Amino acid sequence: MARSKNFKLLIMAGVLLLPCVRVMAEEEIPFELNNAVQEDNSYENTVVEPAKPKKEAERRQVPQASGAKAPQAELAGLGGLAPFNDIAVISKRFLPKTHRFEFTPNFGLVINDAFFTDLAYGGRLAYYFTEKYGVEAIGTVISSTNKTVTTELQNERLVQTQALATPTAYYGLDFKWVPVYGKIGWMNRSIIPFDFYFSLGGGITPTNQSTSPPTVHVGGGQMFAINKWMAAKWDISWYGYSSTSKVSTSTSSGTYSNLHATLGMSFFFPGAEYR
Amino acid sequence: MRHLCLLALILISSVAKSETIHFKEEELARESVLPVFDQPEAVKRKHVPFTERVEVGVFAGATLNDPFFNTYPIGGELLYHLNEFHAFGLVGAYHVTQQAQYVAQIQQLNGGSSIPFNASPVLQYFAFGEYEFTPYYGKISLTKQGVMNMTFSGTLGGGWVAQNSAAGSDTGFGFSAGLNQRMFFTRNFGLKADLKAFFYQQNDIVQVTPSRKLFTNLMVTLGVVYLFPSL
Repeated sequence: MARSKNFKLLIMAGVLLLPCVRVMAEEEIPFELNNAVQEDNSYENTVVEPAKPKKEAERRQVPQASGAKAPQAELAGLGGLAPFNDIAVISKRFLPKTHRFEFTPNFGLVINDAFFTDLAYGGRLAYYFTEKYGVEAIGTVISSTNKTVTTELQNERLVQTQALATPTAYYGLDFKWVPVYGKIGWMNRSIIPFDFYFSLGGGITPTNQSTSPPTVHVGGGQMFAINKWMAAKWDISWYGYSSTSKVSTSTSSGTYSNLHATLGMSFFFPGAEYR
Repeated sequence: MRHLCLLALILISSVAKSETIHFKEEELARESVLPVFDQPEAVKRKHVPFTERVEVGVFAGATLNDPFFNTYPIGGELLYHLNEFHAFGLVGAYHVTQQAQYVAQIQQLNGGSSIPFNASPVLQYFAFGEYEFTPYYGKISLTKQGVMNMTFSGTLGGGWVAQNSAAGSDTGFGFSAGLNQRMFFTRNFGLKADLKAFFYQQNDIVQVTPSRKLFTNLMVTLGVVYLFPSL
């Protein structure tokens, strides 16, 4: 009976002392670790870690079996690693495009027509296979009015200005390449992500001469992301084609270059998940 | 069993002890909303700073709206950046000219042969004072191979426009408004693309009695710029 009572007292004393022992342990371990690091800078002698399963402990001991120089040999081997060949210099594209459609209603001007003021209205529908590559269908309707020089040629010199070819529309298909992306700060206050793209393709250009010659299209522009599904966009496109001009009995042909500057809004779908 | 309960009770009571913490009045939160940062700084340290630097550039390009001539400007600019956003300077160009294809086409048409195209004035050079505002500064990744810094700017300018024709040279006042974009390869050197609208008076030779009229011409140029002092 007395042995049993003593045993109970011993357990109670142990339980009461247990928190004190834990507090001491918490205070002493960092102290010992610090001392160890200060005394010896090699990490081999400062291995203080909780017990691990036997297999893992054995696995960790394998490199040490070849001697103390093993870690140094491992570090020296780092120089032989292959360099990174795909480094994202600006991480996280804000506006994802892969497997998404882009619809862009736009309007603009033909900025290099000396005889007509050409307003261009249209739309584009693109599909991106990857972040960089896609295809785009373009449809543009152009309305033209005479500039002052053209009206004067008609009224003062009686020149048949209808012989001057001007486009009335463009329909085509492009290959689209988006190699550049970045971010820009406005007045050092806010950040706007954007993409640069280039497009190359072909189509037809109906003209006021009742012709629809095949046309080469080269373009480029920028998309400024407003959110993950909408972006403001500008585009500069060059269209080259050859067309005949018919006035009375005479027919002449010429090569024409049209430079379109357009502004638009792009809408991307389906939706993108936030990263 | 009773001993075990007693043991558990002692164990819990020794660990779970409560304590009342008193904070000072001034340390307690008084607002229920997050603070608003009303002056955020988007770019902490610009890789290509402009403040108090001189920009020297050369460019070449083409004008787009002259009906009877194709003109190709070759010129230079000198700008002083007061700070990151504002700059003043000089810009000028000499124009290499060539008659446009439309002249031959118009001459073949009825009435076209009577127009004195040789008297048509054509841009010879311009020299403008210019103000440049640069609200946009950023960086781009070119196919993940490197980073370039870039800017978007708007310009306003005014100065002398000289024109040339068979009747002789003529100098008048003109002004311009434009947009440009720079892309820097280094902290000092970069490309500059510029689109400018020019407004100036020109003799209108299409009229039977020629008169001077306000004329608008677009000019696109591509050039290189260098910033001094070098960094």
